[in-house]
Amino acid sequence: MYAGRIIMSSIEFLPYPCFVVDQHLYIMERSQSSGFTFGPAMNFLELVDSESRKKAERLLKNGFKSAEGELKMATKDSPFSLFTVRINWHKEWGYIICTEKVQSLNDLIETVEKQRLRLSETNFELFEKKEALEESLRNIRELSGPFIKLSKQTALVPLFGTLDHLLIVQNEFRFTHEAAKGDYEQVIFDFHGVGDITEEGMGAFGQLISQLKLMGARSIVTGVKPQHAFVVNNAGVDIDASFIKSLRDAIKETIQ
Amino acid sequence: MNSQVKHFADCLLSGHQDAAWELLLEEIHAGKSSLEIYQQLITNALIYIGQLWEENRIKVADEHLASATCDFLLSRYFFYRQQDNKTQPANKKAMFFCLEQEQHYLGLKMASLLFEEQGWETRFLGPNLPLEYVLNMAESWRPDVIGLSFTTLYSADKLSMYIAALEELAHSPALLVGGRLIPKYDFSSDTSSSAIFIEKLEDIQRWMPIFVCGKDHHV
Ligand code: B12
Repeated sequence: MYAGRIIMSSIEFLPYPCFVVDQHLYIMERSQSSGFTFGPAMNFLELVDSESRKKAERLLKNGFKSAEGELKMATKDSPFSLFTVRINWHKEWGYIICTEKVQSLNDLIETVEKQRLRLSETNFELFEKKEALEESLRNIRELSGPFIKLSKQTALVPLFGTLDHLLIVQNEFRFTHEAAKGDYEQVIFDFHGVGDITEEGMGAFGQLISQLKLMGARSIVTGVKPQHAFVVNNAGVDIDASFIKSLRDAIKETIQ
Repeated sequence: MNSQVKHFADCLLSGHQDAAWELLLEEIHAGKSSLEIYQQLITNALIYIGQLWEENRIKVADEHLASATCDFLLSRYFFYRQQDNKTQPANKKAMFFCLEQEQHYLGLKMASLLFEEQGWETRFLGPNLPLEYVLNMAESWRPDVIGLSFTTLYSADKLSMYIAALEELAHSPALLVGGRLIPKYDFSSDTSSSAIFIEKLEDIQRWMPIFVCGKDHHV
């Protein structure tokens, strides 16, 4: 008897709005805390906003399966506050717990509001120009690494501009594709037109060379300037290529 | 919902602004008008997003991201269209706002952009606008049309109060009321007024010429 009484009142003092319902969602028991948040109701669905009711029925009357989802509910403060509602069934009773999503949602609303204000200040003329500029930068990067057939065995890739991660990443598919298609034995990368080299760029270049090697093409690097030497030697990856001073020498050596 | 609407909604939900923009460009190049794009693609995508929530497949947080992306795209779309819009200025003014507490403004924004595309000077005052603010602005700026919008049933309670106050305005602007509930319920019965209830965005095509030509819009 005594143990029974403890179980009967077990949800009463839980610090959340909690309910015990029957299979039709009639409320059998509710926590005290639910009374601070919600008004009185016979059926749980009365607490749910009219346009969340169908969802609530699907979620909560789901053949005695446990479930969880968001519902908009009428509280004492607001006609549609957002709650996460969880239900767990034990025998013919459903145990429901409701947690309000106030704070996280308010943070989100604030971010969105900020976004909206920023948006109203966006200068679309500049925005479109920026997009156009990015497009032409992409084109320039593709033009910065043409793939030229020198002979049946040898291809030449003169690189231009800054050798950075993007330059490699944007072109590597094309390089490996061309190398595979032409079945080249060697690819000469000419650094003559390269300005700066970044560490990440050299790292990506090292990987590109390994890929080419796997496909059966060895790499030759020419035209390295003294100011490149430090980055090239300290890129943190092995550059598995032969270094030849000038493009001319390299061509001489490979095309005999 | 057709597959394009779903695809657009997916782009919004994942915040893929660029992919969504590509889709809008396709629509533009296929010769669709702004009205068609707003109504068939964008409105339907938002409604579809509402369905996904009802099916417990997305969260309200996802809806927030999608709406912010959608808002940005509307602005970008409008700017793009304006670049080769040769419409003459209509020499008419319209202002738009949502009733107090109402946060759903995307539909209102589309209405406002359509007026602007037709050469109207517009002021988009956005969501949640208290009545005094509306009245002040309307008295000083004297718009020819005032467009109001509400989405939640709860804000409908305030509609008749807003309309009654706006009808007192000395320069008697035309009042347009829009929002998803207009086709579902009869709100005109709680207001005595001449306010025009817009069920579908395309209805404003019918009214716009009347506002522009005739001074007497109380027909
Ligand atoms: C997107 C959305 C949001 C977005 C709104 C983004 C924005 N800035 O507008 C966000 C995520 C922010 C949001 C928030 C909320 N939402 Co909401 N939301 C929706 C959703 C999914 C789509 C609404 C929409 O944008 N439709 C598309 C627009 C374009 O259609 P429209 O407004 O009808 O407009 C068209 C016409 O009516 C017309 N029009 C509209 N206005 C005007 C004005 C004039 C002058 C003219 C001429 C024409 C015109 O032109 C448009 C073009 O076709 C709906 C679901 C649904 N089924 O509607 C829920 C829905 C509307 N939301 C709802 C609720 C409850 C909320 C919240 C209160 C929930 C909460 N507590 O978190 C909050 C509000 C937060 C707050 N602080 O108040 C409920 C409303 C329930 C009810 N009983 O009324 C709905 C129905 C979802 C649900 N089933 O519970 N929501």
